[in-house]
Amino acid sequence: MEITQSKIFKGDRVLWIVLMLLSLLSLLIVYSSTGALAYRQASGNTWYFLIRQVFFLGAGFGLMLVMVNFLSVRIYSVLANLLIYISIGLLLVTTILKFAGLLQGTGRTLDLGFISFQPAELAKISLIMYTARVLGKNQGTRGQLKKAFIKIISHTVVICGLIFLSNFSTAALLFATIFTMMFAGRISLKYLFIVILLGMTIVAGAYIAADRFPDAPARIHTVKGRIDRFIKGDPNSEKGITQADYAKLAIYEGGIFGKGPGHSNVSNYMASAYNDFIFAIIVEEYGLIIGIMVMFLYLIFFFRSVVIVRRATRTFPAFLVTGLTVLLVYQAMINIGVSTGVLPVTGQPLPWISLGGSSLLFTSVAFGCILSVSYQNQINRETQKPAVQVNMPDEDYEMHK
Amino acid sequence: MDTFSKRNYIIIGIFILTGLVFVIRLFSIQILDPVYKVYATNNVLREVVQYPARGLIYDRNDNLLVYNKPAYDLMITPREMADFDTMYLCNLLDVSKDEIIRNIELAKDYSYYKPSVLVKQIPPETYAILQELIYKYNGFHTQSRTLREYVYSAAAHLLGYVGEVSREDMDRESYYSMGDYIGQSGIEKTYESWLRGKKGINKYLVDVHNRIKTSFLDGEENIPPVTGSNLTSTLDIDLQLYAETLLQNKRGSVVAIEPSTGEILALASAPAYHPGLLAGRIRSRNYSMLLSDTLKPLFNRALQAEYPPGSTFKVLNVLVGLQVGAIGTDTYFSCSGPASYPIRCTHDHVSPLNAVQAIRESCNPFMWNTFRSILYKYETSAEGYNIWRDHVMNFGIGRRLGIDINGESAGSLPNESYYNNIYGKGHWNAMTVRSLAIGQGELGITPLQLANYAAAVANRGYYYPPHVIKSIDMGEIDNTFRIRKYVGISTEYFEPAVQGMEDAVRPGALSHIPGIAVCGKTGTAENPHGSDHSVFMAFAPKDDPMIAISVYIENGVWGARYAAPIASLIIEKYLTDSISDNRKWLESRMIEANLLNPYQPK
Repeated sequence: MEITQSKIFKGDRVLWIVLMLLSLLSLLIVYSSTGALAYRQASGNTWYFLIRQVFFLGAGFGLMLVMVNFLSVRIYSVLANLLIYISIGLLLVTTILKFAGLLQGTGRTLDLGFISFQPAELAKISLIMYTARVLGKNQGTRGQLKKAFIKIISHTVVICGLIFLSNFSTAALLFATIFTMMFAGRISLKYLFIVILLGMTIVAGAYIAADRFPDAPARIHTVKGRIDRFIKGDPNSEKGITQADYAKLAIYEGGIFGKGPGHSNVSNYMASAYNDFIFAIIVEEYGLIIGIMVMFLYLIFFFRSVVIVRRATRTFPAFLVTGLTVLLVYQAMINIGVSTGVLPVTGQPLPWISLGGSSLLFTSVAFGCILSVSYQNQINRETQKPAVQVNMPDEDYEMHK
Repeated sequence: MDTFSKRNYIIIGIFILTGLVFVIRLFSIQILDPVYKVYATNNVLREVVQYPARGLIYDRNDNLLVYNKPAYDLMITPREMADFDTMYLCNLLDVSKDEIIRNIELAKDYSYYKPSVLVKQIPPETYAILQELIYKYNGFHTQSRTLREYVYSAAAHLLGYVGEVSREDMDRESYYSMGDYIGQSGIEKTYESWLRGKKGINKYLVDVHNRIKTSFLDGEENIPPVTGSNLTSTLDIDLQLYAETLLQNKRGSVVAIEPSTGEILALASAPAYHPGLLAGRIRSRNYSMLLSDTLKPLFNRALQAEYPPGSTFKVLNVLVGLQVGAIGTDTYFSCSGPASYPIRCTHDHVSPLNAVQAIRESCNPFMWNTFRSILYKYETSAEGYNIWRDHVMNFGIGRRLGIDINGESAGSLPNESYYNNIYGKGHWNAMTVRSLAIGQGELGITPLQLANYAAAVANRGYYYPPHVIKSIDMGEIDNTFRIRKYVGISTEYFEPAVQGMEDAVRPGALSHIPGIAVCGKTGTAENPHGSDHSVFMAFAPKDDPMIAISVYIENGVWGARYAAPIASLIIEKYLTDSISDNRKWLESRMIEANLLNPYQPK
């Protein structure tokens, strides 16, 4: 697969195409699913959320272009150590403010006056960068790998622990991502099993604690409630009026070919049609076939990342791409899984499609990193071309064998 | 890197497997699982708002004034709408075809599957016919609302009206949503939070076609509406009707207050209109009609019109003079009649004369001398003026009294700086502002303020803030209406003033009622746009006053010509419940008088 180099859209061209397709779909589906929201929050101005989404997608593309054109991958390795402590600091501040009762809502968002964002978003990316850096530096001996494991797991526990207090699913998602990175980074299976056991103990502990201690933080009760409803069934589902039921109804009503753009009914009575359940609305409007194709777009993204990882000549970029890709694809899978009722209800947006604000910008930073690495690969390949041709089989060919 | 590669295949494998699981799941939802077919026809919770009945309004004698009558909104759900007989519907509901078409377009713009209002406030008679036919009209249904209905054609300004909420209302209070009704003026506005009650919610399950299938959880979660509280007004509807009858074909106002409580007994502004004109579908049409009427029926003269008080103000000047010691009860001033300077007197009376006689004769030179003495008693005219002004203000003049209906105007009582600006600081004195001595000049006073001032004199030194609501079911009226406001004049000084007022209504005057001691003062307010206005303020009986009243009749030429007789008729009606036979001729003369032409013979 020979890909020519664009002058501006540097990096993996397939990935750029995937992103553009996702953007197009995002605009269509955000416009049609925010109708009810527009009447609730923007006094009936149905253009409001579309324009907002155009703005953030545009800003996201701008950010990615700056990253691939002007920033070197090495910068992220240097930044990793700094960012992780900033993240921990911000998470601590948010947590303290939350328990001091100074934050409204779920206590996930930090408002700095000029900008408001979720510190967890920053923490996700910085922890992945940090993990990639540690794994990359310690691939030599078993002793080094053990040291790497201890460093990574200690930072992960702190960050995921802080996120857990306000948002269980993001903490679990990040934890799973780091776990996958360590798995790919040749950390001994023995350690990984210990981690799994510990993780399960904590979730089970939280589930039981919710019963024993009614005063425990509210999120623990939310987690328990959702797990209960998923296992035992929601009492409201008899009437078919839970969000999960609406999602299934949307998928059912969509059929093979969908109702057509803008014809979704279900989105008007669902509370989170434009983010957590957006996949269901995609199927309702565009049908099963497009729905499966959207899923394949994420898998294509995943496979292109595998290619980028394999072509990477250095370890940090390879692990960085692995981590960011796994994070985004997990997120997509969770969203689709929730919409289809495979997973318990939880709030993860569909990357690059769901209505987003600052979180969309963090997603574009992740894509920007991946594209930067692939651009770095292309430069490296050009300079090393003869050697590659003689000594190595084509990775893509090998992969599809 | 062997293990590394193998582990990567595991990760890839997991993702492919997840993808497969999702695809299978999607298929199963769409094709295999029948349960969602049931959901497809039985899926939406619809909350239908239940509108409470608005509270009723009674008068002080428990006569019902305002109640509700049912009305119906015709609703449309564009998605279910089929072709229908537009002309028949238009004729039945008395709306134009264009309006129907425009409203259908608006409804489509809003939503295809949510109902919108097509025609508002259909009367029950039409609704009965409509209900028989509605099965023919797909996508149409009705929703019940209530409309205000009025027992008497009276007190429109005071009762106020109800209209649809504006965007500002909704922004201010989240209780309201589009299409709700809210009190727009009068009692309806001030007591909105009591009258409106609380909306309820009925929850229904509806299918995809928005048809109601069943009550959600058998109505367990329904919230019943709470009916609004009933109000008892301070109004005496018989007196109000009588006042409005006397005011017919005139411009002017009548305000009657019970001095011992501050309760408004009658508050009439003429020309008036039927309160029902501003209820229901005809409201916007009638509102613009009333707005464009040159007689300004929407203008509530009783609260909003500012007139010079004229000679009625003289009682107040004498009271202030006595209080600050500028004059005494034994002070005599002489009057040279038409030759008096600086203010002439045309009232032809004894001279010299004291306070009681001066009020009786409405003597201008006496008032000028009193006013001058007040101002010159202090170091500077400005200081004297400020002390005089504070006393006047204590009577509720030049500021809002805080009556519990909207639109009250403050009147005008200029402060020191007003004159400083015109004449320069230190360059004006009693001579400069002499018109104030006889209630002319820059003074502006509303009929409500005049009546309140009469009440303060009747109480010999205090008043209760005037108000129109006596009691609220399950509630309390504002406590400020129960607190006496003292005007800062000693009780003893009221005796000469009251005596003067009693003497002014001497036997032979049109305002004299045999057997009732009426204390009153006429006034004539200068009017540059036509004949002068006729003014009268009074209270009765002299000892133990039951009613204080102010009457303004625009272009009534002299206070004694119209305002005084009308006030005396209202007092007689209130105190004896009828008009004695030998005053019937006066009653019919007042009712028949037509003063709509602003130029009347002297």
